[in-house]
Amino acid sequence: MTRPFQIGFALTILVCGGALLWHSFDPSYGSMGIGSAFSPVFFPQVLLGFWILFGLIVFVEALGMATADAPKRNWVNPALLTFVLAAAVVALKPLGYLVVSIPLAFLSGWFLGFRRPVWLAVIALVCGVFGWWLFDRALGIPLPRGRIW
Amino acid sequence: MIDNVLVAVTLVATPAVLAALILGTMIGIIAGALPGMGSVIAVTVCLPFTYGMDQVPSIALLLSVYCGSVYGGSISAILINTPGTPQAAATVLDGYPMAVRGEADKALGWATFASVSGGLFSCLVLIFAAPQLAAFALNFGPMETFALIILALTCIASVSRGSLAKGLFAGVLGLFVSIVGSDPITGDMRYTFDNFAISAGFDVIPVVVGLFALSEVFIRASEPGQAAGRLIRYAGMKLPSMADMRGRWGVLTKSSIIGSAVGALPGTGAATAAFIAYAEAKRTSRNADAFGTGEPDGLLAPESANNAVTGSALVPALALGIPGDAVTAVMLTALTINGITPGVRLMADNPSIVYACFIALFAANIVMFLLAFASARAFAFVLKMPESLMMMGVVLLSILGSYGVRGNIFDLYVMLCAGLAGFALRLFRVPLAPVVIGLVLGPQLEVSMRQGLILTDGSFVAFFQSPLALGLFIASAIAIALPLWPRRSQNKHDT
Repeated sequence: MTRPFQIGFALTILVCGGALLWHSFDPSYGSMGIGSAFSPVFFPQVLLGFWILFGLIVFVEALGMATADAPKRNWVNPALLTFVLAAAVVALKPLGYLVVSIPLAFLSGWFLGFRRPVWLAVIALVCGVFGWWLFDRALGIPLPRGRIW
Repeated sequence: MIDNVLVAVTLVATPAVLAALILGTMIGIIAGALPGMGSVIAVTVCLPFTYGMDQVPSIALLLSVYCGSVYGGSISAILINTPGTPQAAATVLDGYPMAVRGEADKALGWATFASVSGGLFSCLVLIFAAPQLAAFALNFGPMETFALIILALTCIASVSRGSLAKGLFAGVLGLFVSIVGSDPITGDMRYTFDNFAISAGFDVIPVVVGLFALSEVFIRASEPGQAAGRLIRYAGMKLPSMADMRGRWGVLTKSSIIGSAVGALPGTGAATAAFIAYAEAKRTSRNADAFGTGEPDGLLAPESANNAVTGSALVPALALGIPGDAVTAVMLTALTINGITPGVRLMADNPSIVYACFIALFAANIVMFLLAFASARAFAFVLKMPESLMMMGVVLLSILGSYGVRGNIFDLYVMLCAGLAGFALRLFRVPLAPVVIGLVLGPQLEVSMRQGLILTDGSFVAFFQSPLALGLFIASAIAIALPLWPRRSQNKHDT
């Protein structure tokens, strides 16, 4: 990633760390751990202190880094994959694993570059059903069952 | 002792035990290689089968599942950059780069050789020194465990390639993620933002699967032209020759000793042992600079250590009745069902059963060595498919593995977020291994620190008054300072 992005990343670390550290002083934590020597947020506060310290060092490093060109990437495919995965996770409860896994396998295979639709459909069907059989039936780990299946 | 060992050998050398060993090892290797299954689920799934079995075959089945699953985790770590089990998290560091380099067969060979060697070593230690190890384990209270975890955390510096600050940040990130949820001592909710789903905290598996497996899928999807260069192709497994092992026996022995010692301590586990062994190997290896790029020592150390734990974890379980982790807890259940009561009297009242456990574990390691060849060929067949289909399989396995741990849809959201976070961290060249180290060791670190503080009335000074803890703190300081020393000397020399 180029220098401005690295600086942005370091700032994001610092903002997140700062926000979490601020939250750890929330009054709701004040009533916790009464009677014990240290509050339940003592350890997290120490961690967040280190978080901010290392974030500052990363920020200084980013300021001092040489400008370089970043390798070109295709951002569309990861975005589509993320969308498909998120949709599959949302649909798991109402539709069940078996119904969701087959289109998920087909679409992820397609976005990852496999361009033979008939073969991909067959493989997606086999993978979806085999995964369900292996976990739900053979290993006895119940997978989500929707209203349809 | 010899008489007990001979009786144990006759108990183990039966067709039923042999069948249990083969079946258990196969199940273990497959379960270990499937991300998200892991040792606990594998052993738990097999538990009902033991109800109708005799004592020794049932113990042999569970031990071989345990042994096989710890080894199996390295297969997916090496081939698809996803540790099948948390114990194999350190194996990714050098296993996957070696596989990408076109030496997946050798990487599997190193891992197999190290796993079997570590497992056999710990069995021998068990047979000859189980009572002494049990006594040693009793010296470890919360303060000593805290010092040991600090020592394990020093390997964050070792695995941080590029920017050390980014590596240390990643370690802190992992530690922080591990403490989200209910407080381990008081039960108060921390950083849950009134979201009930987070109250149980984040499970390690969905986070690890997301960080390693899903982020790998995203990376490959974003580099369609370059992905072909990272295709893993191999035809089986290639064991290291004696020439390959020259200069590496020390790493193997030392890592096996670390695994055997750490495994005997309740509540530590194979992941801790693997990371300590990795850091120690990197500190002393002649090829320290090559660690993280596919260095065989970086495979030998974690694999021998994590498999050495399988044996020594039985020491507190059998001799003291204290299950060191979830797997040994399940095995203690099986023993109790079979009429064996673990504890201080077991060695005196039922020595033949105890030694039968050790001999069965020894045999399980040998069976694992033989089955490793078959499993390597099977995985080689799977990896012959096009990369896009393999990554499609990784997506499905990620979902199955993350959901399977707790049967919770929320874990899938965690996996997806961890995948996106892993993708971003990789783009910004933040190493992922320290996140996992922090995540795995975080809960133990906090619990031991808090328990220690309760015992010492809130005094940190008392942590340094325990000779064992002090020794471990000094070792941690040396582990941090030593890698910096040559740099400082070099800088002086340069100026």
